[in-house]
Amino acid sequence: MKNILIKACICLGISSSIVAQTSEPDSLSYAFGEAVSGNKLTESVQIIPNNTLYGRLKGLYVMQGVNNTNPLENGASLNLRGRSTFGNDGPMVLVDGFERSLSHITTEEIASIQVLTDAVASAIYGVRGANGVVLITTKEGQKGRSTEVNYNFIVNTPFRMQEFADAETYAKSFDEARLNDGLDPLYTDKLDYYRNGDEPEAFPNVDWQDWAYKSLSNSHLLDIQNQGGTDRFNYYTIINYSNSNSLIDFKNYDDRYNTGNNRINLNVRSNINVDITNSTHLKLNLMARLVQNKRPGTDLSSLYSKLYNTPANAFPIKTSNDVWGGNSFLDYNPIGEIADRGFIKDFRRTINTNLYLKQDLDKFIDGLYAEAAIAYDDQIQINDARKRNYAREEVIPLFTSDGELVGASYQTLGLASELAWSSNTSGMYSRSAVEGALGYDMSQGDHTISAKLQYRQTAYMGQWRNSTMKRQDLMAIANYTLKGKYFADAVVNYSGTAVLPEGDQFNTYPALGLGWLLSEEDFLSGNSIIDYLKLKTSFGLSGNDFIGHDLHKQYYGIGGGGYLFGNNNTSFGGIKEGGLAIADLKIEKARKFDVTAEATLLKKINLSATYFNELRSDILVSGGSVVSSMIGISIPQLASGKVKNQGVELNLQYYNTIGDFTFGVDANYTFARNEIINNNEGFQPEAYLYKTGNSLGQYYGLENEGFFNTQAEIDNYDIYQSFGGTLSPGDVKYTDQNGDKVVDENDYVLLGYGNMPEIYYGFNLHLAYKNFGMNALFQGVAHRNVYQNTTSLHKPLANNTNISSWYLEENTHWTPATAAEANLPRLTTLDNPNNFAWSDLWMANGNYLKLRNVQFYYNLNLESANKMTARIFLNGSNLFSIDNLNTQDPENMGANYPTSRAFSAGVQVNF
Amino acid sequence: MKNMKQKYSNRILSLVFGVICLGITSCDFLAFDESVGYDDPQEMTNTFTKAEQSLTHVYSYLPTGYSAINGAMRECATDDAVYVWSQGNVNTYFNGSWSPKNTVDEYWSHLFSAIRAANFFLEYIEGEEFERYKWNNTYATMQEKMQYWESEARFLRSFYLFELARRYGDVAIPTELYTLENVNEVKPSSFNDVISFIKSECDSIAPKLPDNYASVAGAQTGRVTKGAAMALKCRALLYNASPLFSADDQNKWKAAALAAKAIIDGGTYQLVKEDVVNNLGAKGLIFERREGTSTSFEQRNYPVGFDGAKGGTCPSQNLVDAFERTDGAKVTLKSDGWYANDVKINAADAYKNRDPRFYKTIVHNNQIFKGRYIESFTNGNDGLPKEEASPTGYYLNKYIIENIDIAPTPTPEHHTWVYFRYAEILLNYAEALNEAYGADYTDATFTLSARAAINMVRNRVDMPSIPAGLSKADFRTAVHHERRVELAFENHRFWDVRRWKTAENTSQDLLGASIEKVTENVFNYTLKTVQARTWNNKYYLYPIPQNERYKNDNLKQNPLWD
Repeated sequence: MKNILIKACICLGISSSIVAQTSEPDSLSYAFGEAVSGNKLTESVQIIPNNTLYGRLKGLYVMQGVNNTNPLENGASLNLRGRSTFGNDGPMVLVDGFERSLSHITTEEIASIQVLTDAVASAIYGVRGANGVVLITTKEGQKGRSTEVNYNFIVNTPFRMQEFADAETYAKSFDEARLNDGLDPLYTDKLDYYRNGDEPEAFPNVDWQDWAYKSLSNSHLLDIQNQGGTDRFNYYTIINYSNSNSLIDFKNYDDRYNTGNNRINLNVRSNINVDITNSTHLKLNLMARLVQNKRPGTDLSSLYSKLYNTPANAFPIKTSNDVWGGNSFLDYNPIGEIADRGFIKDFRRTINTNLYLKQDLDKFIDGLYAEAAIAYDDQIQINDARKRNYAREEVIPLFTSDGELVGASYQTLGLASELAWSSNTSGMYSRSAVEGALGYDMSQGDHTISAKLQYRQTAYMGQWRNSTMKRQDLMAIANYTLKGKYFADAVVNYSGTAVLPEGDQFNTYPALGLGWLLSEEDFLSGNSIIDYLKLKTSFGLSGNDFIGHDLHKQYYGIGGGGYLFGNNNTSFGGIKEGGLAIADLKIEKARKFDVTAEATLLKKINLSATYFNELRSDILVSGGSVVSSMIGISIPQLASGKVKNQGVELNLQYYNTIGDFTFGVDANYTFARNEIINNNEGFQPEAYLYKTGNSLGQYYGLENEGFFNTQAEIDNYDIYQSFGGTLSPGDVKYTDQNGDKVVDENDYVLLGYGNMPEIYYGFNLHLAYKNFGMNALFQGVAHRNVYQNTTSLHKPLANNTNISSWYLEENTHWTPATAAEANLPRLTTLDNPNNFAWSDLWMANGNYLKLRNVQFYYNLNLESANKMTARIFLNGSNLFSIDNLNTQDPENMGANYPTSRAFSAGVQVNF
Repeated sequence: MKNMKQKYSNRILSLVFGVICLGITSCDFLAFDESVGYDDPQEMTNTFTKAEQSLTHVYSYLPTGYSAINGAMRECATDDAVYVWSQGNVNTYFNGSWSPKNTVDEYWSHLFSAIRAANFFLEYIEGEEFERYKWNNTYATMQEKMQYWESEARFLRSFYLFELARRYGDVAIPTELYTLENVNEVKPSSFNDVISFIKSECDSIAPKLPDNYASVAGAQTGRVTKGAAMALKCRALLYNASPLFSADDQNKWKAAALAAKAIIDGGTYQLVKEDVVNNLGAKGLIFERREGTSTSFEQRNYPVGFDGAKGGTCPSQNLVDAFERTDGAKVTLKSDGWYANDVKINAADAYKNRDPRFYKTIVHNNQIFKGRYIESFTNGNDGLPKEEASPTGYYLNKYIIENIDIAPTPTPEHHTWVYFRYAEILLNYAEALNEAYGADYTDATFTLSARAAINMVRNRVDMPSIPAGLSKADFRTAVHHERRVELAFENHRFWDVRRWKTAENTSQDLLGASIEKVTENVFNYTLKTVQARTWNNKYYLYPIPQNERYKNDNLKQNPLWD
């Protein structure tokens, strides 16, 4: 017995202890904003779990995503404390202790989500930990037996869709622009046709967005959860089914098949905990998922810009010959694209499995235990497409010599083709992990010690070359508590990654955390106000290894230019020298420090405040600004970038019950400001051109001084605006910052905040009275700007694109009459790079406060022997937004699928 | 009971440790290699096929002029043509926005990459004999091809270096691979030194190169020949002697004339009546680049009345006026119509009996092209205000293959871009000899007079000869004129007006013809200004890219750009 033990310890010297498994959040984490329970997340009825997280946890920036290829899989992106590096700053998301994607599971499976940003937690994850950790635990069975069934019916509508000009308005604006450009107007005698609408074929007036989108779409969400257990055994199972549809219309145009955008998701999970013996505990999590997506056969990601850019008078939807309308300069018909291109279906299957075993070794040494865990995930996606093409027809009106419309001629454009089959696989990957630990817990008098030696190895193999990530960690963790009021945590992690060159793959990441529970001290005991007061601090190192593969190697013989020789023009291939390698390759290193104070006051108020400071160094930055391109080959990056990120996180929680009323608020606020310390930008001729010292992602550009109002003003202007074109009245005038009489890139100044906000806050309100209740989740950002440069919306008419009410009605564009109040340049049909140069004219305040979710529920009183309870609820999501943009969603600025506003009704039954 | 329990615990312990042992697979768990290609530079040249491919890669950098600046030919930046898109990149050359920060193209780094590729090949091919193939029955063929490789790479290096020098003036001469440590300290050499280097390289490799690859194993015509090396030397010396790069120095002009004479004496090339471009079998062709089949050049430049044609390079009235009539009269368009030698003529005769090269270079109004009449008059099928119609009334014909259809079914064909041809050598000779001695000078070495050389070019197309007794200045004008019409749209004009320092006079207004249809086959022509162009004397040389000067202090900016 002992021999085996000694042999094992010697040959391995490693013990297993799965830190993640044992660090389930306790009520203190919930109280101080670091964790949120799954029950709160299901208050936001969302099919994609990322979308339930807005404003719920301090430090976690949840930004609305944009998924144009399949809007039904649109999930918010997660980011801890804004941006802290030029490179990849996505946090590590762990589900049940292993790195997985949050979008693989459903909201209903989640027991809790915890955010770990302190230095000790980051060091524990070694080369992956620098971006922070989001820890998700799935539900476990409780003692007894219970079943819960939830059903929600969701109705989606678009939120803040853009309005484009009708045919008459478009024609008038177009002619105004033509006159501004010194060209002849095209529509003067045609305006009547647009106004009367008598000839919809030759003079069409089509609201493309109205036709392409339905006003409502629906989704269903159903789950059945079973759980139960005894003292030694418990289980939790869930079957989750969702069926969602998007707003894209015309799914039944061809009666042979359905081209609608639809997603069906089926998740099945089984979590089992068993005490095999009195000293052995086994945990098994199994999850399988099937997803089927369907969408029209067109390239959906470009559909939305087609809907924006097609003017109302371009062509009718269909001509009288039942052929899709078209014209010679647009090679598509937007409705034809969604209705008549066939369809694409994809099937995705995923499994996430993990097994955990803990063995108490009290028989040998009291307090000793061993743990082991393995995990295996796999996914594949099969895409089947049956696509076709449609023909279009151009309608050319025929006039007599007096200008009377006598008919139309039709010219066929494009070529129709029948359904063609194609199939491929994508999204294939497998993940595996093995962990082992040996731990020791001891408590003697005032001292409590727990220590662990842990080994972990993880491998991710993707479908494509150079997508494999492998990591190996060997660490020692120790916790020490004195008198229950003084705490110390220390970790040293020897962590390695496969992207570094051999022989140099490991780095050491130490971290130390200290805590002091002041409320246990004598001077605070019995204090009537302060029930709990803790101060803690941590500092340490961690790494980020998302730097790309093989950067330390120079390759030869891949690619190369070809040439033709011989009188038969025979082609010969060439091979070339590859780009230079990075000598001394490093992965990013984060040095973190934070100080936190947590307090519970009056038994009802929980407060916490954190100050954090992170220095990220060894970031790969371009070498191009410091190496001359006379070298004739691509210059390697240098690992010399540095970014500092510091800020505060605040959290407030207050719950109270008065009589039958319960009310509470959960509020959090994060301020994170980063600063570029080194980005290798090289020499800049003016001091204001340096980006060093400013934050990442800020907007730079020209400062505008209004518009030129007269031709004389332009002729007398001695500064050359180099962005292009001949200036006319109504064009933008810019400031020449450096006084060299030329406006060019040397006059770019810092315009303001970037797209990533510095301030992120949220508050969750809860009100309940007897059986009624209400939950509301608000979330907002501040210190944020957006840049408006969407074609047809902010940049209208050029290259046969469209114009909208934003340009014409919401703002005032320059005309000689409106010169005094104008805030947008004159209309033009030409490219005009001068007016659309990067400047503060197009930048707007991107702050917002949104009501992300509101739920009203009623608990039904059912008298039943089975102790059945039921609850009905009504939800609204994305109901309103307070911001500076009025008609645009500040989180969805481009030509994208419109943001969804949803209403849902649901019922929950427990028995 | 107790024993049973112990047995269980034992088994479980073993299981646990077994799992741990499995877990600790090995110390090379992190080993990862999905690399492709080779990791040793010697691998690029250690087999015959790979070495050949490495050299092909050096060839691939040779620039063609079909779309030199984002779809426009470089002539659009000269008084020979205008690009139909007023926003195109080519306008940077003359609209005032050209600057060290706004460099039009990325040729600085592109050409240094080309030179590096050549130096890489030369470094690693050195000493390779491919002994291991000694017993192959193809070894003799290999040796036959290999003997020229080093010379080919050296030619290409000099060619790219010349491209750099004629843009930027003083540039560095890379003869070995730069490293990250030394590239920022590189000192540029003077233009004169660059040309000396090119001359010495070409002198060294020309004897080693064959006259023609048709008789070499593989018949890989298109590779560098003796004539190509001599032609590069000739052109380089001619530029070196030109006013932009040096004060009038008879020795420099003489050297250029000698270099041209060597090619003339060699007898490899002849001047006969033939297509000068897109003709692989031309007797005057010295060095060219073959292209795969395509229709893109025609698509870019056909008159807009053809389905699918987009606007492109449109020849100017300035160039049309340069083509004389076959009787030697000068035909020009003025604000009130056409004049021949300042005598008014009928518009119907304006395009008749012109220099035959006119019809090969330009498509004009009311001519038959691809089976129909071209209507570049106002409101015509190919004329304004149609989108992308030519603003000058003329369309391009040089390098255009009229047989190509672009829509509905494209019929692509091969194009061939000419770098050097015999007519240029003769014109180089005429120019250089005139500057050195005079138009009618002959002696034992220069057995052909400058006038005789230029007349060979003119007589080939049945144009009247230049008379004897012209002064140096008048003959110079004749040579400049002949270059313009003979070598139109072959990427010479842009460089010629700079090296002659005549650009300040020629780069003012780009003229076109405003054409009104009166009735069938009767048109009214008036002169109009299509574009007013700014010229600044700093435009004679390209500006050194500003970012490069920040990294290397040794790079001095070209005159007047600072």
